[in-house]
Amino acid sequence: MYVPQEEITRETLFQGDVIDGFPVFIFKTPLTQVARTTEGGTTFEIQQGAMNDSSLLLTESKLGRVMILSQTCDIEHRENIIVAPVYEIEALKDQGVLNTDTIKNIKKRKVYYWFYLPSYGGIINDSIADFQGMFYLPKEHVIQYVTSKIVTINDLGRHHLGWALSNFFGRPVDESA
Amino acid sequence: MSHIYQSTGAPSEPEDTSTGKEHPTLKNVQFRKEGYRFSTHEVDVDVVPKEEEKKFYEKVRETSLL
Repeated sequence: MYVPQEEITRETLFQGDVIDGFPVFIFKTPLTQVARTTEGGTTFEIQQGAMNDSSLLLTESKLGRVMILSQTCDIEHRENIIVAPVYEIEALKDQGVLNTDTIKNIKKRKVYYWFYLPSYGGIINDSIADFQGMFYLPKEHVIQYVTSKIVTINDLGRHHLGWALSNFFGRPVDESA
Repeated sequence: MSHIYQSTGAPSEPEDTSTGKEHPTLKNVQFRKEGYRFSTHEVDVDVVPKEEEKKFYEKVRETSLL
């Protein structure tokens, strides 16, 4: 599933790389907009009412782990990079979020929107990448974290990821099954 | 101009060495020349109980999972 640590390159980002200490956005519902209260200052206040074209939205951010979903070729050629937040399964278990059956199904890759990342060498514990939480950031920001990658998936892992993403956005039919 | 491409070669029933079991969905999938057909209802969308999924995203919003 993963490239051996000694073979990881930290000069380039690849699809499937897991990056640590990356800003993850958390959107509270309902969405909250803010307005500047001082000209050119940094004071804001919560604003009620309908949003307009120039609304500023209040979004929480916390440093966490993300997985690069953009194709490696697109990372090089496009301007934005798509990532998905990564959560440890043990934390989900400890907090009583997921039951044992669900975790088994995740590990069997039957949950098409939570991509299973098996533990590896004390570097990453059993985790999931949440496709439903994917978001994008400009490439120039994301590439600053290239040295923070903790694992790179190998060809087999990338096949798993490609299949999972195609299932998430489409529904490929296996005619031979 | 350099290019970095995705992995090469067609997948052929790879084995998921992380779990010691064959991948349940990749098995037997053929990357045919004529391409895939796509459907809208070919996966079990309710593998995870609704209340579990809801609880998951509540915890996400509480930021207690990061």
